[in-house]
Amino acid sequence: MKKTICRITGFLIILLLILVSLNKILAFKFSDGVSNVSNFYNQDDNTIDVLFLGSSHCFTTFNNGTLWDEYGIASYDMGTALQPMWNSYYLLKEVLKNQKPELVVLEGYATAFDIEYSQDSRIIKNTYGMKWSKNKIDAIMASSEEGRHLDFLLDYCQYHSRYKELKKADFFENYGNQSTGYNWFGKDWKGHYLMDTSNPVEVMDVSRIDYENELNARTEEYYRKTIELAQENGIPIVVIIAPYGISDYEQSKFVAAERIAGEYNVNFINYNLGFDELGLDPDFIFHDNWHMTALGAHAFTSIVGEYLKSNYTISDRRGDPKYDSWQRWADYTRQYELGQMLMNCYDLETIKSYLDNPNYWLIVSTDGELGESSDKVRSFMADIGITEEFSKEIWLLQSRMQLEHVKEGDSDAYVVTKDRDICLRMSEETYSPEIYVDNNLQKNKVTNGINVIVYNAETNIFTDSFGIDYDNGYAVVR
Amino acid sequence: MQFNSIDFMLFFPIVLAVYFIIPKKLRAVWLLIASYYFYMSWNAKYAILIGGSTVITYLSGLMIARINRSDDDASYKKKRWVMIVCIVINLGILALFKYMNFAIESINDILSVLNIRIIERRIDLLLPVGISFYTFQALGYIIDVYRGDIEEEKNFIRYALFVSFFPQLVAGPIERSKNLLNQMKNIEELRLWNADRITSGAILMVWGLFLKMVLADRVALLVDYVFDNYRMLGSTELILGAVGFSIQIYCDFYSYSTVAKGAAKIMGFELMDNFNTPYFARNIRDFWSRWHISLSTWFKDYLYIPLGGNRKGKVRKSLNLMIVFLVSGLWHGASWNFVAWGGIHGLYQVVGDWTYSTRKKICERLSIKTECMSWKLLQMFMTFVMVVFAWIFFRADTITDALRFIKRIVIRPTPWKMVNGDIYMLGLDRSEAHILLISLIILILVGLIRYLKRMSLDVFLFEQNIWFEWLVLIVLIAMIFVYGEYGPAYDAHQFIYFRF
Repeated sequence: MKKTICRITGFLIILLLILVSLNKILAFKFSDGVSNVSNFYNQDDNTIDVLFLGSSHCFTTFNNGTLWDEYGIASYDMGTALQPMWNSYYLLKEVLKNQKPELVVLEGYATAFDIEYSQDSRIIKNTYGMKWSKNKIDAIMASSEEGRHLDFLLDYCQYHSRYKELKKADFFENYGNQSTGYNWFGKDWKGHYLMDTSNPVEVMDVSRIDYENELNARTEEYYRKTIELAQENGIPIVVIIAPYGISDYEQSKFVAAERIAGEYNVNFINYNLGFDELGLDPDFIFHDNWHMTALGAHAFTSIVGEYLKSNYTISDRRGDPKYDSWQRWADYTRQYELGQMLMNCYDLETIKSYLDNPNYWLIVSTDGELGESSDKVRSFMADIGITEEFSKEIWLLQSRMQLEHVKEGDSDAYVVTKDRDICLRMSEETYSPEIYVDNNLQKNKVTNGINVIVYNAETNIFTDSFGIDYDNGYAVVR
Repeated sequence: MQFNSIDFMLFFPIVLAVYFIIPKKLRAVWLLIASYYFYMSWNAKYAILIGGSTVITYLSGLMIARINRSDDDASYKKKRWVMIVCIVINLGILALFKYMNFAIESINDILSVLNIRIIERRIDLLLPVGISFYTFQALGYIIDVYRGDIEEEKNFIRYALFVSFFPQLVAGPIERSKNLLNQMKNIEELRLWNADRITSGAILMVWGLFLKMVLADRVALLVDYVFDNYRMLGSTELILGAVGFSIQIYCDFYSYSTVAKGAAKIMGFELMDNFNTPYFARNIRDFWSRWHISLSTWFKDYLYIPLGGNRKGKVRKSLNLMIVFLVSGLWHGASWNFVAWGGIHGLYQVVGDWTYSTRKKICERLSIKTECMSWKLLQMFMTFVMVVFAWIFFRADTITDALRFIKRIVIRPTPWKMVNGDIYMLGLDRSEAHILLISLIILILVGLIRYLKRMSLDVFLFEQNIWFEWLVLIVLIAMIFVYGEYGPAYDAHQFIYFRF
């Protein structure tokens, strides 16, 4: 009898361990929802001074690194994709279990939502990052329709079939979103989703809209509950509407939301009103109609930080070793922003100044007939560490030092870093340089000229890739 | 509730837990309540039908037994009448719910040739789940009592449990009173706490769920695609679809029977085997001794033999075979394509019977070795081809569709599609196809163990070292967990035999 019990127990334990491991591998790890929330649990207790809640308008807009660098504010973006008010409420409840922020900032775009329940994918993104608790169950029940609660409560049913799309991030913790090449995840990440590539957006002047459109009943209910929850816990709360391609209808909803905030003596700042006075370039700061780029977020957060610091009592944590992870995240963000600035440059002189970054590895290759190089090009090449005459070659450079150099006839050079496998090869078929990163052939920007790939070894991001086109007046192309 | 549903995952442990701890006298009552709850989860109203069938056959059994005990000269006629009335009522209910619309449509089709339409309206009745199964099970009991093969069951609770026992209620196996009812007579004496028996039952349930969730429901994606789009596909795809359906229906049905057997075993009951590696059969007769054994033996005992079997000459035997298989086809579905499927199998057996001696003479003439492995493999292959051919009629929506399907295999050869990757566009991409292939290999291995060693998986694993037993189970469970077709993106495929 004892032997049987031991046998069965032993089997069940092993089975459970395996199933738990499989569950962990297969679980969703979206960085626009699930991971923002699950990473919250990596933060030390009572270290978050400013908590941001809201949709993607929140997590792409509020730059934690900027707030730290300029104001010493330890903030966290608890934003999730299309986060409706009911999820903001439950996430705030979750945060308050082991955090006592000095301020809650509610990004109020969701007050304009007219939905009764979220789409399935949004329910997942808004709840699956939470640890299992009554709060999570309540969040799922509030997010999903009657009769569908079980569909989401049994979370493995949603993601068990992910086996075909597994990536490195599914197997290794704190690896991040493989598709962006980031090493985001881990304690240092504060929830801000860094976006690149700007596109012009028109921020309409909606100041003439002074009438209200009633908020959706569920939205209003949880909007009020979120404000009340913060105030019951003695935490000031402010509602902010970040700039985006706003519509008249949405503005009319914000008018109602502002009135409701006023009932609680809560400040409500709609940055779409008087956007022109902010001094932000709408052709530059936006990634799309709703989200800011990293540089745009930096610029806007600088403004918001000024407001928050002036109107609320928020501690300056710079220099406190307990907040080192905020410093590290700020360093990381700065590196990313510098990379963004590099990516927007088309002048060789300015590019040179950005490349003067000790974290950068440069993979430089020359291809085509080349011909005579201009003085500018020769100066550029000398500046990055290539002083000799060149034909078809490949170099790996760091801080002007040649780490690898491959010419025609040379064997391949392999460079193995902690996270990357790089191969430099002169092709025997095409006689052209080939650069492989993680077994993927990198596309050259020019066929006659110089190709430069910039890799930030600190952040593990391939920051930039550009070419100097000899057939087009040595123009920089991307 | 289906066996692979969350509802059953909650239902079964609760039923088991109570069953194991309640006083012995209450076991039958508890299982009866659980069985009716299980049945009513499909459609509460139709519990009246199964209840009605139970009462009618129970009372008929008592009446026949009483008539048997009386020394009445007319007792034979009386009990015969009781049996006939009982059968007519039960089959009448089955006919009403399952075949009425089929009959109306068929009559209308015939008369439409003469521009006459007698019956306009369809009768809108939802088919009660499992009606074909429990009706036959109950009728088997009454016939057994009539024949004197079994004593009547006086205990209504036990009898009702025999008819409605939830593991085998909705898709078999169709149990015999001599087996299951006899076991139920001893329900209070069962020693439930037996680790080996419980483990064995659990292994069977895991194996059944693997067959259903990983294999049957996965290959169904390919089968559905091919049969839905057969008019644009060629021989390779169509053959793949037909073979795929052969696998699907086998795994689907076999899985249900296996889970049923496992669940019953945990509770202390031994259900009959319903499948015995049918695709290793060497001829059609052998196939039917291995496929849906409970139904084929039911037809043999309660239709074929009463019709005369093979005792009245070869012509009569052939006629009896055709009747049995046509009825079997009709049992499977109220549609002419099912009848055609049954008819094809009947024809196989009749032709096989009539040509047996000729074929034997040819083999002798040509010095063909018929005991060697190559010959057996050839027989298996030919049998499989014939079975797959017949399945086309079973799966197609109509006989016309089946014939078109077969015609396209002949007139649209596409052998290049076997190698150019196009087969991964038939509903299963490359990785899904690989998972299917691995699962098929597992199925074949387990089948070979059964065929060669005459051991079911649970028995085989008990003979191995513990690490191997655990490894197999963990792999199966992990595959169900990861590769099982369930969840919101998964369009739940009803167990195919739930239409019956």
